[in-house]
Amino acid sequence: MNELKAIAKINQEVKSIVYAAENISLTATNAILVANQSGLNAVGFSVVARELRMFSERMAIAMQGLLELIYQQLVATAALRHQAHNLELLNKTGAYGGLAQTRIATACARNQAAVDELERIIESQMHSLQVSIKRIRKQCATGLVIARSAGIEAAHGGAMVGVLRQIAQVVTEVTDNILMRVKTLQLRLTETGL
Amino acid sequence: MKKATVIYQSGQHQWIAVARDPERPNYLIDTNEYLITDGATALLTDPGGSEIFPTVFSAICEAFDPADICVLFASHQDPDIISSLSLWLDFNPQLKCYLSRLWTTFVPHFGGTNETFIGIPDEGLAIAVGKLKLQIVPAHYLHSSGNFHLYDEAAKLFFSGDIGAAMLPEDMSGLFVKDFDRHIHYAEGFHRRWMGSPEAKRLWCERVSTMQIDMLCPQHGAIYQGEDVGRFINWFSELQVGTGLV
Repeated sequence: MNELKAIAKINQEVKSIVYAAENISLTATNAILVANQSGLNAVGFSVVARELRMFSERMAIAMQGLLELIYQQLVATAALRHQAHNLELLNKTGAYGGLAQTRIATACARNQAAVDELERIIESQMHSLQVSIKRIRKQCATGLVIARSAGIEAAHGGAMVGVLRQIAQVVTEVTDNILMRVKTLQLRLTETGL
Repeated sequence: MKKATVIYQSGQHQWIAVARDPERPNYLIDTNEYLITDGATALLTDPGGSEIFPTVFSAICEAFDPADICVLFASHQDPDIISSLSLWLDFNPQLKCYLSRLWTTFVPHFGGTNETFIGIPDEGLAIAVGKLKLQIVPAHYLHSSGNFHLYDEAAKLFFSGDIGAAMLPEDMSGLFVKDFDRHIHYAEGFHRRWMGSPEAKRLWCERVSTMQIDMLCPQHGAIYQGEDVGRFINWFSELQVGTGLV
């Protein structure tokens, strides 16, 4: 798979995580409302639900940052492909030898320097992506702990136990799903060398 | 590989045709580039597509130092005309490019910045290359909506862009038109389809008829010289174009 295709695929995966995180936010808001209806019995659940909503907001910000990094990677990769194609044509010009080789040499060197610089930028951006994705993975692990706490707190929900358990289960499943997707994303970044 | 051939010389004033590449891949249309020089300064017409840059550059090197090309002239915006721009700018970032004001925001998609382009007004322009005076002649809608040709009054040579173009078979690979009647057969389809306006065609024919032209140099195909120039203008003036029918 070429780099541009890989970036497009990664972009789609990040968007699916953003969508899942938005779902958690909605579910957490719903959970807060249900917990409020349950009164004092569900105070613990309400606290956990607020934490979950904050988690989803942090995820949305982190994912936005990730999308921005991926966009920068796309810009640099497209520029590299263009520059590399130009370099190929300039080198082909030089391959004619004689005067063409002498006269195009400076342009070849300048273009090669531009290609090297773009490769350096891409490598640095790749590092930022890896760091960012590691941080997001940790956030997800924390989110999963919060989601499981919601399951425990749901047991104290009095008459609303059933509803709260159901909400906690949904949140746990979605958070778990996000964590799996983030792991896949990390793996894909490593595999594609991005 | 393309060859550079001097087609006009008077002192330091030269026209060098970089034309007719028999080794070009058949999926790329063949193009002609013309270098108009005055000693150590030159203008290059329609420098061509990026894929043919190596062969154009290399051919020019055999006849002229490309570092002395100070100006590019793009008759219009098509990729076979000017998509090599970014490579030329890689070679010489100071290069300027004349083209229709209509295309100064389109062509930068191929390369260049605001500093690169000199937009030509619709009515054309007189420009200087060294001591040479060249006239940029309007040819709008023939075929592009912002289209120009280039007239060198001193040399009596006229760069006619896509007008005069012919899609010639392999056995007609000469630089100049040898047999007008046979040649024009290969120009007809192109002109019928590409030239969009009978009125623009009429105005162009009237305009160039008043000029003294020894050679009419198209961007594709062979060069018309001598009486074939007048023959071509007459033929074109009578050709039905711009019917909107394929």
